Amino acid sequence: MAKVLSNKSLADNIYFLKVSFKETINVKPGQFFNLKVCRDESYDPLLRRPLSVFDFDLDNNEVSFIYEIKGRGTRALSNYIKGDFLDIHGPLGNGFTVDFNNKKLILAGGGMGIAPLYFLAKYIGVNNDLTLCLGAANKGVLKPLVDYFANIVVELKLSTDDGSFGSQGTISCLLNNSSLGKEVEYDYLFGCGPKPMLEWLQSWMREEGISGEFSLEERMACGNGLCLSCSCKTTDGNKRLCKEGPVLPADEVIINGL
Amino acid sequence: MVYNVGLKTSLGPLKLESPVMTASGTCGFGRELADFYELKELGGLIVKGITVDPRDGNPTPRIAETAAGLINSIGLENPGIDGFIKEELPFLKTVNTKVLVNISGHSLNDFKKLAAVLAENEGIDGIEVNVSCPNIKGGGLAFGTDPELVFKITDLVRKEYNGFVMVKLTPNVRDIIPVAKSAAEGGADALAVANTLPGMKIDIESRIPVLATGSGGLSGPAIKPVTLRLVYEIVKNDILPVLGLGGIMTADDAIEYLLAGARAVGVGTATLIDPYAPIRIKSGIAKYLKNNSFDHLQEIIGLAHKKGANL
Repeated sequence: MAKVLSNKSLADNIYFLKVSFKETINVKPGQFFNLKVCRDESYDPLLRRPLSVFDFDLDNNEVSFIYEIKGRGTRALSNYIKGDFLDIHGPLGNGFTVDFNNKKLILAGGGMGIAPLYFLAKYIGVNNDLTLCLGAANKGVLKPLVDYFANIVVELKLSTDDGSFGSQGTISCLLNNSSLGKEVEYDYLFGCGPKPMLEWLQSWMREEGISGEFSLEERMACGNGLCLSCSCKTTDGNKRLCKEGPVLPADEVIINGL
Repeated sequence: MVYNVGLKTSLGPLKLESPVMTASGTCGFGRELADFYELKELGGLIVKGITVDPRDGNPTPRIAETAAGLINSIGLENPGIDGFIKEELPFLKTVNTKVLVNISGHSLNDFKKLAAVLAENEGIDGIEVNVSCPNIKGGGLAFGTDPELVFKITDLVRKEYNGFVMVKLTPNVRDIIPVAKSAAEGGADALAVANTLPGMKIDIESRIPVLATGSGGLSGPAIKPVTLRLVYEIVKNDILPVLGLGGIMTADDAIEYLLAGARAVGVGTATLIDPYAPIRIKSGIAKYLKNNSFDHLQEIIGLAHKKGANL
């Protein structure tokens, strides 16, 4: 069980949730938690909701999430208030590769895919040179997320579909040579976002010869590798995003492969 | 854990230390649950459905949530019988609980072949014949609605395999009794009642069904009254021992099935929400027996038949 410290709206339908655990936990960037949103003896909404970790405070055992209200489950979650208890499983999944030193790294996030990149940026930003390329539908969504990144020293490149904040377009407009700086050689890329974005990223990375990894999303039930709801096809067979993922090598993922 | 009541039960020739089994497709091949507790705490493990050839499963989305229910269309993603024997069976040989292997096929010959291969291998305690999977093209659910086919499949499996054979029935029939009787005539030792109900969810924004395959099998609390009644009906007709399953989330739910005459219960969807659910349910059953001054589980099995019911 975790205690709700804060559950507030950041923008239309976008919420910030912070919880504290009594027991000591250790969380890696890119891992997720599976949250039970129905109360006590209710079975509705039935399934837990998987949320990736936005931030983790090791000293206080506090985990925060950013989520968008997409349906009944996330709406039920948004009704929890400070002091409530949440039945939470986790941390789950493998998380991002974090053992980099003095590398030039790109973190590319689209929409709610930006959320797991914050803890990652904090974690690996100390020893590496980060370029963050973040995109979303509009300023209303992007600005509140980007504000969190302001207190980490990183290079931020922003885009919105409607041009209301940063460049106009998808994050593909941020990842061309003129925008990135032609002379810079990047070592590795972390990507998280909608499938069309990852599809574009994958081909761009192949063209540029940059390796990296994606944090992927799929409808999930158990989060423990039991049900095979979240299978993802890869060049190395099917992987369970809850168990072998959610982070997989970018080159192995076969997007929409199943 | 030690309970001061008797929890032993049996499904015909299959002796169980306790009445709670994990339903196929919700417990993998046991490895994941072994991270949470010792598998000997379970009455038995009914592992993921196996087919002759490996299957990648269906496209995603494979699940959709509905009111107190879950619709799945996993499509029997599994390593195939050879992969199972090579990669999963060695681990299953080490678990100290009853292990049943769920088998599915596209043809009668598939079932025959699967039973034959399992007969050659030691380390399992029986077969659950899945004549009711809604998520594979060809065969699947269609087998389970036809009493003649259920007889043929059971008979083929029985002839290949000497051990415990349980047939898992679909609730998607007008009258389940002829199907249950066919399984008995084919030589089954027990019946698992029941599989998921066919269901659908539509996304009103995209205006198409949520599941990539359009529809799938509904499980969870939403179906419990339906499958519970089927258990009651089959028990009343005294056909074969029954494993009751469908929407069991709590000990109370499991006790209803036992009162309806199930000799054991299967927990499925609940395990996906809480891996400890089968253990919690087992403890709850023991507590209920104790609180109501029963010494043994067997004393409550079928009690709900005393009053009778219009079916």
